[in-house]
Amino acid sequence: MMERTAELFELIEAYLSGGMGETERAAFELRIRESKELEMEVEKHRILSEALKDDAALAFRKKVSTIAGDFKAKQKSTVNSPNIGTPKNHFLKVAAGVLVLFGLGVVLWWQINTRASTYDRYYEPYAIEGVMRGADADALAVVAKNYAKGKYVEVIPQLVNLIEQHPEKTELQLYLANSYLQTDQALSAITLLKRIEVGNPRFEAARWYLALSYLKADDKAAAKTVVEELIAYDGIYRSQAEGVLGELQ
Amino acid sequence: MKNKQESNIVKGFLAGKEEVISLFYEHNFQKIKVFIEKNSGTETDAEDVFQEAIIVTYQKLRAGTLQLECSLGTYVFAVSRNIWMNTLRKRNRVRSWEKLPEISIALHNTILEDIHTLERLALYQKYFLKLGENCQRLLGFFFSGKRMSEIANIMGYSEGYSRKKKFECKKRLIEMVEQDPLYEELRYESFKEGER
Repeated sequence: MMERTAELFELIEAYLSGGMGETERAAFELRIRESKELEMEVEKHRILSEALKDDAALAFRKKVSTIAGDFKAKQKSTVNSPNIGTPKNHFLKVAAGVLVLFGLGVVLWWQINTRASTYDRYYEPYAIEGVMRGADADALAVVAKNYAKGKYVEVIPQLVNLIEQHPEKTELQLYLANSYLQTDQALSAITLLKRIEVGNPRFEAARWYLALSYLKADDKAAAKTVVEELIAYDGIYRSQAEGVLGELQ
Repeated sequence: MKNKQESNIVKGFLAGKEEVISLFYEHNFQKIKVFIEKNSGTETDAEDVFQEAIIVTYQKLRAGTLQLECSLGTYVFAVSRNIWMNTLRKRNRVRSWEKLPEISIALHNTILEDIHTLERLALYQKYFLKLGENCQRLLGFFFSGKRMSEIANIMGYSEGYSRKKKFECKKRLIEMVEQDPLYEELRYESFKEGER
C-alpha cells in the first residue's frame, strides 16, 4: 500500500498546479499510468483542490451548518423544557421552587442538574454509518435497523455476538457503547471504548463517547482528561470537546 | 418568480443573509424530515440532506443557472427528495422514483445532474469544516494560492512547520473523506463511468 508522505503530497501539488518542468511532468505521468493507487491519490487531491478553492461555497456551507445546529439546539430545549400542563401541576412546581430556595437541597439539586445537563446537551447517539457489507450482511442490517430505531436493549446481545465474529468492525463497538449509554450502563461503555486505540480510524469518535460516558458515570475528572486530549487531537470533535470543557470548568 | 416575497428570499440566499436562511430552514425542514423518516431515514439523515439541498440550490443561484418555476421551498424539497432517493438507490433500497408533480421533467433531470456533480465536492467540503480551526485556516490559505512562506508568516509558524502542518491537515481530511460510506459509493460510480 502506498504510504502518504509529505514529499508525495508536495509532488502531487506541484503536478496539479503546473509547477513541474516538462521532463519531471512526463516522468510523474508515467508513474501515474503505472500505479492505479497513485492515480486515485492524485484524483483525491484534484477534487480536494476544486472543493476548497470555492471560498464563497465554503462560507455558505459553514453558515448553513451553524444555522442547522442552532435550530436543533432550539428544538431540543423546547422538548426538554418543563411542561406547565394543568394548573395543579403549575402550583406544585411553584411550591417546589419556593422550597429549594430555602434549603441546602438547592445546592445539591443544582449540582446534579448541571452534570446531567452537560451530558444531555452534548450526547447524540452515534449514527449508523451506512450499508454494512461483507459476511453476515443480513444480520448486520437487522442490527443497524434496530439500533436506528432505538431498540437498544434488544440490540445489545446481537451486537455482542457480532463483535465476537467481527472484531475488526470498530463501528459495531461504537454502536454497542452507545447502546450501553442509552440503557444506563455507562461503566460497560467505558470499558469497551477504552479498548479502541490510537491508529484506529474511529479512535477520535471512541474518545468522544468515552468522555460522555465518564460524564454519565459522574466522573468529572476523567471526562475532563479525555476532552483535553480531544482538543489537542484537533479533529472533528474538537469544538464539542471545547464546549464540554468550558462547562466542566 | 411568483411574487416579491419569493424574490426577497432568493436575494437573501444569494447574499448569505443568516436571518433569511434561518427562517427558510425553520419553515421548510419539518416537511423534509417527515418525508425522509417515512422513507427509511433518520432525523440526522434529514439534517444532512436538507443542508446539502440548500447548498446545491445556493450554487445554482450563484451560477445563474436556476430558472425557478415554483417556490424556493418546493425546489429545495425536490432537491432534498432526489438526494435522499439517490442515497437509497445506492443502498439498493429503491430502483427509481417519479418526479414531483409541481416541477417539470426538465427541472427534475437537471436536479439529478447537479446532485451528481456536486456530491464529490460536497463530501470534501463537509469534512474540511470538521477540521480544527488552524487546519482550516492553513488549508484555506494554501488553496487560495498563497505561498508557504506567506502562510508561515500569517500563522506565526516556521516555513518547515507550516509544510508539516499542511501535510498533516490534508492527510487527516482525506482520511475522514475515505471513511464516509458515500466515498466508496462515489468511487464505485466513477469506476462504472470509466468502464463505459
